[in-house]
Amino acid sequence: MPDLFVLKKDTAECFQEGAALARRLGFNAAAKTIAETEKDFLEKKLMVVTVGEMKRGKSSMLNALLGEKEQIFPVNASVATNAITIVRYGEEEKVEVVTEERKKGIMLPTTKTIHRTEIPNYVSEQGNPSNFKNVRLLKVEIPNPLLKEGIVFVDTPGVGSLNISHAETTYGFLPNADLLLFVSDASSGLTETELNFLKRGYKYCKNVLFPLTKKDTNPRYKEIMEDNQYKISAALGISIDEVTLIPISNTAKIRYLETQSKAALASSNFPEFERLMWSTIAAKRGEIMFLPFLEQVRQETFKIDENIVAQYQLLESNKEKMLELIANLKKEIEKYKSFESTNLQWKSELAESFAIMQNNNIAALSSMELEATNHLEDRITALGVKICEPEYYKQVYNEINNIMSERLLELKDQMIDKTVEEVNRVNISLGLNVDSCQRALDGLNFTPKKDLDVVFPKRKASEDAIRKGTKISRSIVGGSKIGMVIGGLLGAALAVFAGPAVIAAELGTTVADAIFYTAISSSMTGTSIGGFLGGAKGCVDAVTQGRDVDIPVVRKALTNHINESRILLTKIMNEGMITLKGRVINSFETEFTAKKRELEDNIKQIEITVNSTKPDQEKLEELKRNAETIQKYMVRLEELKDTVASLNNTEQDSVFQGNTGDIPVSTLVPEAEKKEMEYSFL
Amino acid sequence: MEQSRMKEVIHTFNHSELCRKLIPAELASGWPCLKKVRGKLYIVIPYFNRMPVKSGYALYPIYCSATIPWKMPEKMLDFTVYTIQENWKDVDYSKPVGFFKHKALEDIRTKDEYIALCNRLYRCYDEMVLAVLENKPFAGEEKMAGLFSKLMEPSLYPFYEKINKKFYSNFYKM
Repeated sequence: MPDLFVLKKDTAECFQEGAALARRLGFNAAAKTIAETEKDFLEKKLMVVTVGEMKRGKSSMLNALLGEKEQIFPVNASVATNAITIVRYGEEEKVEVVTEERKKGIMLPTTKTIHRTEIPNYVSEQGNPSNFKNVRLLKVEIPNPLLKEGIVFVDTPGVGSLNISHAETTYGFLPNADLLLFVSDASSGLTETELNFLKRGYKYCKNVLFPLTKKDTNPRYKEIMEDNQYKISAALGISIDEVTLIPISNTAKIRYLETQSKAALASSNFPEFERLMWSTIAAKRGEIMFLPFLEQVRQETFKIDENIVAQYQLLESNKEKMLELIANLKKEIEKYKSFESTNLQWKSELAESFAIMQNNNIAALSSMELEATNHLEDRITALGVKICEPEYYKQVYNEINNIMSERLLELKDQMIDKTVEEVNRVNISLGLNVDSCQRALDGLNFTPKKDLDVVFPKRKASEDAIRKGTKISRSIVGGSKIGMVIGGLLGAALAVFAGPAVIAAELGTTVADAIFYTAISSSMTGTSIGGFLGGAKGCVDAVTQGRDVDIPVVRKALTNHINESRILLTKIMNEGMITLKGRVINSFETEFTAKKRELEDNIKQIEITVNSTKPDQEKLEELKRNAETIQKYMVRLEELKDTVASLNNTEQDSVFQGNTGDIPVSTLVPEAEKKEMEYSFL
Repeated sequence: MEQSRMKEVIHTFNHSELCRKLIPAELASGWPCLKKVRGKLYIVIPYFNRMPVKSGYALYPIYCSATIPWKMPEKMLDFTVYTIQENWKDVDYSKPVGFFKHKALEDIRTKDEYIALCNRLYRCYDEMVLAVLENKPFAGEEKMAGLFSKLMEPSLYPFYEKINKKFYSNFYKM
């Protein structure tokens, strides 16, 4: 197996060469894109995110997986994780806690370095009840070899818990996940809340493993396992044999780490779980960490190649055709300019869609309020005066919050779908999904000669589909980016969670995104939003402090809580929608600028050819040389892609077996030297 | 037991956006065949309808197939809907052509046993793919033919044969 570090270094070098080559040939826009791709590539990590209901053993499982002598994630029967923890590789151990503090009326992130033993004081309900320390993120760097190849483990707070912010914190993180470990346990079957959460998570990440913890606590765990398998298969609409549920025991694995008892290891079933997890990671990392970037650079070089070949073919035919092509390219530029200044129908259509979306959101929030109020009345009827007792009051209060949280998550799903749909619609109506150079060339009705061995100008539709399928979106146009933006919006709406800015910056999303998150968070903190949960808190305090309250007082407090929440959410939603609309429009304008720049580069190149004082034959030779250079570079990219794809054929990761492995024969033997085998079945 | 790469490739494609958009959700994927196009390896996955009945499943003729690159299972080279193909025009899609489980599987009592058997066949596919990629002879041909002949639904075989006779007839020995 190829060494991942060497491969990463080779790929980065190849991108640098590509950018230099594009610049040397005069394609500055392509050079810039390739350089940006290299930067994104170097920053890419593979995120393994654990999710599941609280107290299912997520943190224990991560401790057992990492096998650190001193456990990282706080675990205790009375402890629940309440903030996101990110664990990544670092040469030296470093633990940082990011809190948010109000400075001059604005909430700003503050980072503080702490010792490993202090972690429970910040990310557990025990050490930091209701997150009063305003912890947004815990960043842990450890010299653990399992993480060395760019794998990042993320521990999230439990969903469906009493604290509604947990679900939102975790949900906001899902668009970043490359592999989800959906944790359930052997003590009870999956709940509806968990299944709903799973359905949402699956939308973003199709790579899911289902560890079933605490298998040692229930001798009949297989029944729970079968039941979960059935529920998951029905919820996700996949067959039962596609649901990979693995029963494990965290305590047995930790006992093994302490005593080296082989019996404990066997009973933990961790070897099977780890094998499955690492082989899934090994199979996916090439696809996640390399292929999209290689494909993006290949597309850029493909465009350069097309342009050079076009010039060659046109020079071979006549100068009139070249001038005609320049005119067509200029028309394309004019079209993009008109989208910015005169032809603004797309903007008004977008504005209309956002206005409709906004109205629907308001209606959805009103119906959320109605549902919560009806639930409150039902509970008052059922419980009677018992609702004035702290235990029941808190229960109803949490039920109401769960209803609102559930509806908000549904609203978020709808907003994501609708925004993606709108963005795609505008993309198609403006022709942004079509290669604009190709369109200009097609306008010539030009029949190429066969001098250069390139299919031109018509490309095969299947190739196009494959190319477009892996395109990296650099703008908001990508569905997961929209998910993150809306995630930030609603995360902020929940007030208790104001951390998307911190997380976005941490994950290496664009500066613009981080600014956006900050804008949303700040817009929220400027209002009296801290009281989203505050309206009823006074009453909780009164109830828990044993003061006299009766049903009308409780009803009023909870009704106010519901009503204030709705008003507040509507306000935040409206402000957020304005920002979101601005971001979408801005992203289209950025796309226009990029397209114009690309077309201008093309025109410049063709003009050089038209005005060249060199005899045609000499110019033809030069173009041929350039085409050969760029095609050689494309072969190199293809070879790198093949090497990356060979990662997928390897079951285990080198660091996990201490085996550096060999590069498969297929990538070592030059194509020309291979003798094709004859197979009876091919 | 290790997870088969072939099974994983099919799983990846079955959960891709492309598949979701193109292939009706009620269809199940059948046994794939290999195909080499311009030196690159692809797999063709057939899809057919099955309806639960008292004794198991009623099977309907193969409806469509997707050809996907082995190394990029979320992409697609080709998608063919057989109902509109000239040489499939006589196929009647309104009636089942047979039932699952078929006679050869009589000794298979539980679903787990069936899945284990399928997994063994998938691993044979893996060995075959590895041999093709490394340009080496495929040593497991006989073992694969045994498993394939047991697992192949006889009522669907004529349709598999229509898709790629060379491949399927090489392994189906009935």
